[in-house]
Amino acid sequence: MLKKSVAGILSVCMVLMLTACGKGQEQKPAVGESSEIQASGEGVVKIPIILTTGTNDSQDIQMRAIVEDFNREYEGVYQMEPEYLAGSSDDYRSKLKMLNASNSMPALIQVGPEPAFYELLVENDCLVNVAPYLEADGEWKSRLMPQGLQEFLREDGSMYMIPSSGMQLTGIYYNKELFEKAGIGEFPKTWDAFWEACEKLKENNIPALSLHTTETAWCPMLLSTAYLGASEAGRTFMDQQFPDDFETVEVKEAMELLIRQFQYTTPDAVGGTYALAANNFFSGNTAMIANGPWMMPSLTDEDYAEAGFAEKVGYAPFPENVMVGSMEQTSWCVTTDQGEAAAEGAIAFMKFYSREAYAQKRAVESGEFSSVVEIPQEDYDAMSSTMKECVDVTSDVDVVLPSYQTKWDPVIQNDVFGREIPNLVSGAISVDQFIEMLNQGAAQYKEDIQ
Amino acid sequence: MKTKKYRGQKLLDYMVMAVVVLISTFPFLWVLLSSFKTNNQILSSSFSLPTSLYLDGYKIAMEKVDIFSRFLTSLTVAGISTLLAVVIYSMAGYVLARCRFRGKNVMFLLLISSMLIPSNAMVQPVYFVVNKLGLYDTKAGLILVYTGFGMAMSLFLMRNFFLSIPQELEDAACIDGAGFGRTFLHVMLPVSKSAMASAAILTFIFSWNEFMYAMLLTSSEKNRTLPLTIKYFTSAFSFNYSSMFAALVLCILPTLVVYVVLQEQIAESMVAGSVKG
Repeated sequence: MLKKSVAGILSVCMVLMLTACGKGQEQKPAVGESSEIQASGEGVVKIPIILTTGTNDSQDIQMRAIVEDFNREYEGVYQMEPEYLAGSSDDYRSKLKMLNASNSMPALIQVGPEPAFYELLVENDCLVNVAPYLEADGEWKSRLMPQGLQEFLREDGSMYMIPSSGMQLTGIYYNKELFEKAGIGEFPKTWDAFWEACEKLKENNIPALSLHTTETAWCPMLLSTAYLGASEAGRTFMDQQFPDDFETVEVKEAMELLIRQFQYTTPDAVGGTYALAANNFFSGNTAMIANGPWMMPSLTDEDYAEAGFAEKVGYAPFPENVMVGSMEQTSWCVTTDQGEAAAEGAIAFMKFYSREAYAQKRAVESGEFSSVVEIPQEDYDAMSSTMKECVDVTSDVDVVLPSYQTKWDPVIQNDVFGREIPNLVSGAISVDQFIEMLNQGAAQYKEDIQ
Repeated sequence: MKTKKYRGQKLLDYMVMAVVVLISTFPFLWVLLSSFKTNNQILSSSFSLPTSLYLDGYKIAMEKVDIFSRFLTSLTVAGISTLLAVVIYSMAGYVLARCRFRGKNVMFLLLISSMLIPSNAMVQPVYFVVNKLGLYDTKAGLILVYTGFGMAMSLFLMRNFFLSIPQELEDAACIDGAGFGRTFLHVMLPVSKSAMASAAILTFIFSWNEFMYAMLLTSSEKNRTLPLTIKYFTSAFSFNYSSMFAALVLCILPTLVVYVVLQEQIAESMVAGSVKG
């Protein structure tokens, strides 16, 4: 009898505790529940979206403002329901994959940096073909990057990725004061001049480059892959999606260049993080760092650099007038998981998002430029000198190379780079051995997805 | 002579204690001191003392994220998960230790074998179950998952502890007229407090620190736990270590205050029942 009573009391306690923490009636449904149900009940179509967020993130701040404006303008019709996710892009993609497996992805997603996942979604009819919407609204189409429209259009005339109005191009930030100290007049325009500049900086006890080996070795790999933009063969190689043969003269040279970079860096670079590398640049310890315009707000943030630091910083393309950027990284896809009404709402949001005023704001604040975004003169005049240089070099660039992060497979980036780049740059393995490992990584990825 | 030896012994004791105290408090002191340094100072010289009292880290941490509400969420989720784990697994452990039924050992092995499955491999099935139960983006969903993850270790600890208690203790209770429930509640549980405390500590620490499932199984701010808050300050290209350390101090402080105020009771409860006689 007592046994039964104890069991009964405990069961009731457990149920009470769980229901007390459970979902109340006033709460919104899970991402996976169709918004059509909500629409029929309340008359408002809810459009879930996941936005990555972090401290000092200008894109996050802009997106919050656009979401608020959209919800105000479409009040009673559509409502964007953002989930703010503080984490890395890997965390974002893990969440998308999990939601995808149960057909409950948000209405708008970004899958640019993971092309294999994008192709899988297309194959499984998880994405909305936006081509008919673009054809029906010429005004909207004219506000999007023409190169993006061309690149995302598939052979059968369908399109599953909506390009942004502009693109962030990655180049090199350099410290003009340190350049002057080393007797370097202007930013080098060729690779030979670049190495000469590094040598001069070294002679003046200034580490030339901010480098790191974790987080897919972003900064040094940008420089190495930018080298591929200088030759036709290199550009062809970088155009390949998931290359499986890295045994080419150009790639070998790029990897030798990777090793060479580490002769001109700080002792904490091998095994170091991006944060360490960036801090070395912000503190004036190093003269250059390869990165995109999203780093601009940090130049004036006193949490990162001392007051007045931004005025010392210039922005230049990589030698041979090459810049790196991929439209996929800022493009959005509309999913079918949330139903037709939410998909229509997501399209309405994308039209709203590409309005001239917002595109200009993104250009001015985050460096998203293109031929369809005109920056008003007064906005240009109000820009920091570094951002002005960014606008100027972006409009005058000869070669735009896609980022290795959107072209090379995840096994190479996450496993091979993380494990072997420290070995490569410290001389524990040769370039040939490293290339062999890249080929093995590519083969393993092909095996994994079959 | 004896006094000299005694003094030497005392000195050695103090030295050992000082080393232990230093090792135990160093991480917290480092976090505390770092919270008063700028990003630049933290990254340039991690172990140096702050040159000035930089308080912007705290200001930013409190402005950007509702740390206290997330602290309460973490406390609720970790606290209830721990309570459930201790209650359920002590009962299950007792049954598996003392009752005789067919397949008992196989069942026990099956239950504790979940320890061998990497938590990453369970993401999809766990999400599927939680979503089907309507517990996506609820504290209850997280509680359910964390209680489940605590099963293998807690069950293992509890069952083995009950096995180590002499059968005579239960026989005596039986002679005195106690039934199954009363024997468990009034005889076995009081002597197994140390095992329960171990199970509770392990479950609480896991639930308190867990990041991946908290990120995947919640979407609204009110159900987000502290580890997600800390991540806010160290995303890909935007990092703010002074705010991150400030947030960590704000998270740790209430627990420290509670411990300092209640340390005698906590220590007592930890050792109660561990001495038989």
